[in-house]
Amino acid sequence: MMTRLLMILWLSAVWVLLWGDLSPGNALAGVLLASILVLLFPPGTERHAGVHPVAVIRFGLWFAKALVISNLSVAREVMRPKIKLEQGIVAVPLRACSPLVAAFVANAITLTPGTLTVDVRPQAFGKIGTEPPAGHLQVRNGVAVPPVLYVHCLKVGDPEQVRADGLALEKYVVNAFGSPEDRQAILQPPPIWPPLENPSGREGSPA
Amino acid sequence: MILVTNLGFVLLSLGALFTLARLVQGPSLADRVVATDLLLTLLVMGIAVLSARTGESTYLIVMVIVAMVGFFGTAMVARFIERRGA
Amino acid sequence: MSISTVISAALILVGCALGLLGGVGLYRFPDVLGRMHAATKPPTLGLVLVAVAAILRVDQLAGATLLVLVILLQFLTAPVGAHMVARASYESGDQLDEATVIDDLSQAEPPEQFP
Repeated sequence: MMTRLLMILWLSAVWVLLWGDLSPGNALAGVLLASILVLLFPPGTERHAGVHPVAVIRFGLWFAKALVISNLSVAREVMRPKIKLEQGIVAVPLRACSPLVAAFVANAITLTPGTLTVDVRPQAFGKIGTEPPAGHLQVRNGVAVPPVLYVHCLKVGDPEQVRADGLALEKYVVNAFGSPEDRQAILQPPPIWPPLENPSGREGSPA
Repeated sequence: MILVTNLGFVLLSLGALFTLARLVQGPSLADRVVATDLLLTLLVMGIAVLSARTGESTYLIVMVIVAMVGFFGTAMVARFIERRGA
Repeated sequence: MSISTVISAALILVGCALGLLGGVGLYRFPDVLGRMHAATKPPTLGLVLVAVAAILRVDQLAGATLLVLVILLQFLTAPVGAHMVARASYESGDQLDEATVIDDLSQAEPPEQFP
């Protein structure tokens, strides 16, 4: 229900911004149209994201600073007479399981210093018979599978540093937008990469 | 202000020229779609600079539409590349 | 010359320089994924700066709200577009640069195919 109300609010705000006209008739038309649209196409069932305003502001400030720094560093790379890059794709395993957090972190990684998210895949625990269903970052019967982000970097200094940066970014995002399960999940120690063949607690016959 | 916007237009045109070179030369379809997206972004920037120069807002709706069309086109071609390969 | 005119002039110059940087980077980088770095981040920030400059100069409120909308749209769609094209080019087998140091994605499980 909350998601629908927020969606109606957002759509009416976009309508009013597009018309540039804050009269009551226009706003009412926007709300009406947004309600009809949300009734026809209800948004998917998302986990309830807990928004903390102070953390959102902190995330926004850090993000603005990272954006400026990233553009300066890309500018320096472009302006060199002979381009010298060490590109690479690094796997960054996350800890929080919800798709919302993964989407935010992937977008933030794409907009920050020299990194670009290429792919997001569920974490494969070695070769075990039961794999999570396709497209789901989280399995319903109690076993949550955190995603792994594959991040392309212009200058890979040290892959562990890239993973640490990714986990720090995830902490910012979860503090700002995460659900209670996510906030619990990021208290775990950083995941090891590459993953072990058969971590404790999961039975299964290796294929 | 007129001088500054003229300079801005010159910079944007130079950027568009380089992008055009990549559009012609790019060995793969992904290069070309990125170049097209960048051309549309430069167009949106040009419209914004024009609005800043004259102060009138008649062309800004074009800007919104071009930005949206740019994104949708890029997304659709990306899905096409993923399925058919290029 | 009021202060807002000076600020908007500076913002226009920086924004257009970032757009030029995006074009030059797209031309010079050796690799598809690297070009995507150069072609999405600087022009996005340049567009935001130029739009802020135009907000300071436009005289109707309708224009200012359209510019705010464009800024929001650009922030929401540019990284998503870049990511989609990067993933598509990797999956369809575009050759990465020879100087690539590390490639974890080649050892990952193949993705699920959506209908």
